[in-house]
Amino acid sequence: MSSVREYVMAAVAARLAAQIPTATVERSRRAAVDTDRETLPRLVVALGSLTPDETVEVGRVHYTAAITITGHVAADTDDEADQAATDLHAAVVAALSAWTPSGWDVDTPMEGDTDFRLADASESTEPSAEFTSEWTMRVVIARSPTGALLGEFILDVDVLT
Amino acid sequence: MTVFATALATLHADPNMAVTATYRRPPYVWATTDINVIVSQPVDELGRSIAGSVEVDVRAADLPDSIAQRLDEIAIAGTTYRVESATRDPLALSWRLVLGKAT
Repeated sequence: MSSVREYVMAAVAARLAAQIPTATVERSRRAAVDTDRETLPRLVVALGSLTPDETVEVGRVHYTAAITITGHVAADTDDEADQAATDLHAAVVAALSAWTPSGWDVDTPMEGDTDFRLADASESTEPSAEFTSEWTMRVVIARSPTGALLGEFILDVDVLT
Repeated sequence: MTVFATALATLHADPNMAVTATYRRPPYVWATTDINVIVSQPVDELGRSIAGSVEVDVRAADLPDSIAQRLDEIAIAGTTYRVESATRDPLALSWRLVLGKAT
């Protein structure tokens, strides 16, 4: 494992891909999703910030990762597109809220705000919708007395209180 | 006709600008005469996605009662679209229609 950020991104993307096989899961995507031409539904995972806190526990760094999951759907009718966004978001919540990563002493990731948007007719002829869901996860790693991070993570994911 | 109406008719008659279409309104009986419409297909960003939309300019004179209204339908190149919104120009010579996929 090269870094906390990479570990969190890879774990979340793998979890979503395994639990929601009908969706295409991506990470590290810079271009907007073309809802007319790309395979949908589609989930894009991005990690926006990584905040360290060394005051919680001596000898350990508690990192809080802020994750953004964007879902994109399209359907034949407006109602179906709206419902598809709801269903995909529900699947994301089910996948992450019931997650205990192996080898970790874990509490579930914390769900944040989710914004839904049905594309306006002037924006898309095909009924399409998207949502942006915010999540936070905490990862704890050990720091040696010399200040160096230990080569092996002590993974201890907590729910923020 | 005013000069504006004449100019509009000229633009809609130009095969380089307009395409033929068929229009209908509930109870959805297709008009027997084709009309000429000017199509635009902007691609816009929506949040973190992009999608294409279809908008057309139609002469008011080509429409039933010179009015376009939501839930009317228009067929262009074998594809039927539903009118989602219709905006009339200040001179009441044409309508700008935003189209959605017809089901």
